[in-house]
Amino acid sequence: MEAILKNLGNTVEVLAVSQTVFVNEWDNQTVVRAFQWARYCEQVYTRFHTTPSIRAALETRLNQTNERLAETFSGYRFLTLSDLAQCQHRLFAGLLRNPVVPLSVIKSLFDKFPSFEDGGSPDEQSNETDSDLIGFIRRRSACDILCSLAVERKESCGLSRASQVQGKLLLQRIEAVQCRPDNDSYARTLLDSFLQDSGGLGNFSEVIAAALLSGYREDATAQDFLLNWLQGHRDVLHSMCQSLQPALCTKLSQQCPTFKLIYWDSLKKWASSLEYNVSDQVWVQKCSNAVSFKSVADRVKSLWSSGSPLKEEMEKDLEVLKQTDGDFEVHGLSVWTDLEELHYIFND
Amino acid sequence: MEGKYIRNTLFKAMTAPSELQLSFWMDKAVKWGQATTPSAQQDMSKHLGSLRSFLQQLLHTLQLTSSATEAVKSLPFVGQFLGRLCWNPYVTADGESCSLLLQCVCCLYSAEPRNALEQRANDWIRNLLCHLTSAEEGGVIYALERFAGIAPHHCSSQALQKMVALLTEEVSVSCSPAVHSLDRCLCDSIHAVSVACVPLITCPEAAPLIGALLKRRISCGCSHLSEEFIEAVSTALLSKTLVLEDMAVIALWCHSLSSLEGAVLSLLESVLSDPGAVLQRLEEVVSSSFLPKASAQHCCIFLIVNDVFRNVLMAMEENVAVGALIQVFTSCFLRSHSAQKQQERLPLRAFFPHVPQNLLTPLLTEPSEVPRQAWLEHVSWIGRLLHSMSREADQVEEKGDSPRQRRALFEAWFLLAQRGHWVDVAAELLVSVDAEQSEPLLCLLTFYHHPTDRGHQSSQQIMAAREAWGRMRILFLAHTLPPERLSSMNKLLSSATSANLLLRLLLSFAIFCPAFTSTAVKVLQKVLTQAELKRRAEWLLASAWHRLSRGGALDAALQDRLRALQDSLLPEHISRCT
Repeated sequence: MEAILKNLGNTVEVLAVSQTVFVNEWDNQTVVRAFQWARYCEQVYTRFHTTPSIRAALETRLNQTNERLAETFSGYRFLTLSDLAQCQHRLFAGLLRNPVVPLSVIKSLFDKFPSFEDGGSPDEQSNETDSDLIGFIRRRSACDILCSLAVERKESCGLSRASQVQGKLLLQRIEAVQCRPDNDSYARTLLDSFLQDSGGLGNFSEVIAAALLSGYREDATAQDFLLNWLQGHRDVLHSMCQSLQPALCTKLSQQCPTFKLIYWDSLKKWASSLEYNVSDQVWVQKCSNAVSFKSVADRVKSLWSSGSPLKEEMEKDLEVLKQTDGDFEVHGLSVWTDLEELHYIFND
Repeated sequence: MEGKYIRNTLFKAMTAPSELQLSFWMDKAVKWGQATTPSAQQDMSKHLGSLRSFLQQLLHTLQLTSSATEAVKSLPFVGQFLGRLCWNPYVTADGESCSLLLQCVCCLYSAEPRNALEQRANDWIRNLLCHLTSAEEGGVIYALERFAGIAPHHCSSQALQKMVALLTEEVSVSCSPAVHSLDRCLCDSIHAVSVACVPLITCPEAAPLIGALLKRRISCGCSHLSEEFIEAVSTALLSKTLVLEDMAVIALWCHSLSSLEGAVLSLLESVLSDPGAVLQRLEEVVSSSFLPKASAQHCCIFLIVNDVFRNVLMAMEENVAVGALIQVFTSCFLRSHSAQKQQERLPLRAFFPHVPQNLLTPLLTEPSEVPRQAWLEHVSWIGRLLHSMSREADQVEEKGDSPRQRRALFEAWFLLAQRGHWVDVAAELLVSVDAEQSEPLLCLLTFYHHPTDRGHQSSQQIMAAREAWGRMRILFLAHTLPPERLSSMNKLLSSATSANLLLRLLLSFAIFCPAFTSTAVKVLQKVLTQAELKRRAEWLLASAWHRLSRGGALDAALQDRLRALQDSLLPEHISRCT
C-alpha cells in the first residue's frame, strides 16, 4: 500500500512539473515514462476509489502532495481525487498548453497520437480499441451532430438530447459509487463538486431534471439518492423551479412529490408577491427580476393540464387560498381569484 | 499494365491541388460553417467522398514541403481552410477525414521555427488540438467528465452510446396514423437523421441507429432515407467496415437494388479473383455473404440474385468457377429455406416461377436423398425430360418464333446449372452404364454444355458426345494404351471449341473407372497437354473431391485415386506459374 501511495505522489509531482518551466529538460523518453505513470495512476484510481478506507489514504497522500507542491510552485492548482481518473489526458493537455515544452516533445505527441490505453475503465468492452485521439475526436463530433438533430418527441418535454444523455451518465456514476453502501458521503461530495464545476445552476438544473425523469427502472435507486441530495440543496431546487420550462416542471411534479411541494410553494410565494396595478389592470412583480404574473399563470396552467391527480390538488389548494384571501370574485383584488379565473377560461 | 496504373494514381495523388480546387473547397468550408443546419449537412453528405480525396491530395503535397513557410506560400489559405474544417463536427466525425485533417495540420508544425509565422503556426496548432480534445472548463460537459471518474475518451464513448440508444428508440417508434394521430409523422425527420449518420457509418457505436433507420423502411412506407446514406452503408458493408444485424441488411437490400447487386457482384469478384484458393472455402465464403439466408427469407432477393447470376453465366458460360459458385449458392439457399419455420416458409415453387413442376422436383432433390441404386433412373428421367423439352422447343420454333418456349428452356438449363451436381452424377454413371442406358445421360450432358444448340446441331452434338464416350470406354478399359488412340483423344480435346463436356467425361472416367490408377494417370498425362485444359481439370478434380467428401463417398481408395490424378497434373503446371 505504501508503495502505491508513494507512486501516486510521484506521479502527481510529474504532472505538476509538466506544467512548469522545468519541463524544458524533458525528452521523448521522459514523456513516455510520464504517460506510463499517468496510466498507472488511473488504474489505481479505478481499482480503489470505491473502497472508503483506501480512498481516505489516497486522499490524504494527495493532499499532502498538493500542499508541498503549492509551496514549491506558485499558482499550483490542487488536484482532486477525481482528477486522477483522467491523468493521461491532463498530462497531454498540460504539455500542449505549456509554452516551454520542447518542440520535439510536442512533435512526438503528434507522431504517436498516443493511444490512451485502457487504464481500466469500469466497463471495459472488447471494441474499445479506438481509444486513440482520432477516435476521441470522432466520438465527440458524432455526439455534436446527433445532438443537433431536432427533438420530436413530446415525452421529452423540451429536454435536449444532450441533457438526457448527461442525466443518464450522472445516474450511472451514482450507481457505480453506491455499489458499496458506505459510499454515501462520497457520492454526496461528488455531486457537490459537480454542482460547483457546472458553472451555473442553469445547465445543472437541466441535467438533474433529465436524470430524475429518466424512465428506466435500473435508475430508480440512483434517482432516490439524487432526490435525497437535492433536499439538502434548496437553492438548486428553487433554481430548477424558476429556470426550467413549465412543461418540464409539471412532469417533475408528477414524478417527485418533493419537487411538487417545493414547486407549488415557489409558485405560491411568487404569486403572493405580485401587486395589482390599477391603472394598467395587470398584476406586476415588485422588482424586475422577480417572476411575472404571466410566468406564474403559464406554470399554473401547465399543472392543470397535466390531469389528475395534480389538477384536483391545484384546484383544491387554489380554492382554499382564494377563500382565505376573502373569496372575491372581482378581478384585481386577489391574485388567487384571477388565477382561478384563468382556470375556467382555460377549461371552457 | 498494373505498374502503369499504380504510377498513374501516385502521380495523381502527388500533384498539388489547383487554384480552382482550392477555391472550391474553401468556399465549401465557409458555407458549411459548423454544420448545424440540415441543408449544410445535406450538401456535406454529397461531398464527403470527394473531400476525403482532396484531403489526401493536400496531405501528399504538404508532406513534400520542407517547412511551414513554404507550405503557406504555395497554399496561402491552407491554415484557414484546415481550421474551419476542424471546427466542423460533420467532417471530424468521419474517421478518415479526421485523420487526414489532423495529419495535414501536423505537417504545418515546425520542430524548429525559423520565423514569426512558423511560431504562430505552432501556437495555433497546439491551441487547436487542445480545443479538439478538451471540454471547456466551467461547462457541464467538463464538470460531468470530472464527476464521472473516467478518462474523457471513455466518457465520450459512453455518451455516444447513450445518444445512439436515444435516437434508435426514437427512430424505432412505429409510424401508425391511428395511434399517433396527434403527433406529426416522424418520417420527415428520418431523412435528416439519415443525412446526419453518413459520416458515422464506420463508427461502431452508431451501428444500432443505422440498423434501426434501415429497418424502419420496412415498417413504414413513407420513410425516406437519403441516397448518400444508402450508398455509404452499402459500401461499408461490402468492405466489412460496418457490421449490421441480419434484419437491417435485408432491409437495405430490399430497399436498394444497387446495394443488393453490389453484394452479389462482390461475391462473384471474390470467387473469380482467386478461384483456386476459394474452392476449399466456397461454402464458407458464400454463407458469410449472407445472401443465401436473405434469399430464403425474401423471394424478391432470391430472384434478383439469380438474375445477376444468369447474366454472368451467359457471359462466361465455360467458367467452371462461376458454375460452382451458383451451385453452392443454391445449396446454401435450399438449406436455409428448409431450416425456416413451416409457417414462414414460401413454397419453393415461388422461388422458381418459370420452371415446370415436373422438372423442378427431381432437380431440387439432393443426391443424398436418393438411394444410390435409384440414381440412374432419377438422372435418366431428368435427361429424357430435358430432351423432350428441347424437341418441343425445336418444333415450335420451326413454326415460328416462340419466346415462351425458349424462355422455359433457358430456365430449365439455368436450374440444371444451379443443381450442377446432378450433371456430375450423370458423368459418374456414364462410366459404368451400357449403350442403351447412356442415351438420356448423354442428352443431359449435351444439353448442359450446349444449351443454345437447336435441332440439327443438337443431334450432332449428342452424336459427337456418344462417340467420345465410346472411345473413352475403350481407352480406360484397355490393358494397353495404344498411342494412336491417346493422340486422337488429345486432338479431340484440343480442337473442340468447348471442350468442357469431353473434359468432364474424361475426368469422370479417370476417377471412377475400375482400371488401375496408373492407367488412369497415364491417360490423363498423355491426353491433357494444353495448359488451359490442365487448369480446368485441376478445378474439376478439386470440385469432385469436394462433392464426394460432402456426400460421404470419399473412401480411401478414391482419395488415393484423386490425389494421384491431381499430382499428375502438377509438375508442369508449377513450372508454368513460375
